[in-house]
Amino acid sequence: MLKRIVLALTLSLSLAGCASLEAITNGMSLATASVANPVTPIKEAQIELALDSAVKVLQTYKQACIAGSADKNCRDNIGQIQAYTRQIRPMVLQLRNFVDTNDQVNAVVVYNQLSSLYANMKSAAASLGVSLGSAT
Amino acid sequence: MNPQIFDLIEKGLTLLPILVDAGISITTTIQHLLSLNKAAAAGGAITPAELAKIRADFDSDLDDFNKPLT
Repeated sequence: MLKRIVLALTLSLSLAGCASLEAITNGMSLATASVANPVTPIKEAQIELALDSAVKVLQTYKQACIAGSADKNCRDNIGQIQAYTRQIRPMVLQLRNFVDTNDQVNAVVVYNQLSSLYANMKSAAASLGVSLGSAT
Repeated sequence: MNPQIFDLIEKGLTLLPILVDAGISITTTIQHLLSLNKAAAAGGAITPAELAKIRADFDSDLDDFNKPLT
């Protein structure tokens, strides 16, 4: 019985940890871009910071995996998540170029693709037990 | 009790310290993002130097995570 109480308490603490992480990331908002809502340099910076914060969480998970303190499936999990994160680099480079040249037609397309990719990466990570926060 | 709850508890036990560490590691980035959100809402801009730093930091973190596990 005592063991169950300890486990329940630990689960509560764990969920509290998730909630804190969610609270930290509440400021993120990856609104859909459009010609009326163009991708300005500051908007590009916002999506890069949002993606970077997610990658930082994943880095922590990877470091824990290497150290042997993560779950037993962490190597497979990281491999699955990297399938998404490796698609990010070429898209970000395109976005930067379009923002620098103020090519809004293409910048909007790539920005929205990146937002969608981020949402998919977050879903994949969540299904594997890694919370990337509440950004959409 | 549903046996799946034990899997959940085990996962929670494993991931708790990771989540705490991750929360600490992204605090600065989130604070930066919140300040940018405020600036954007107020119609502000970002300097080329600041944008360049954000780009470089993201490149560095992404490259690090994308390296194969050894």
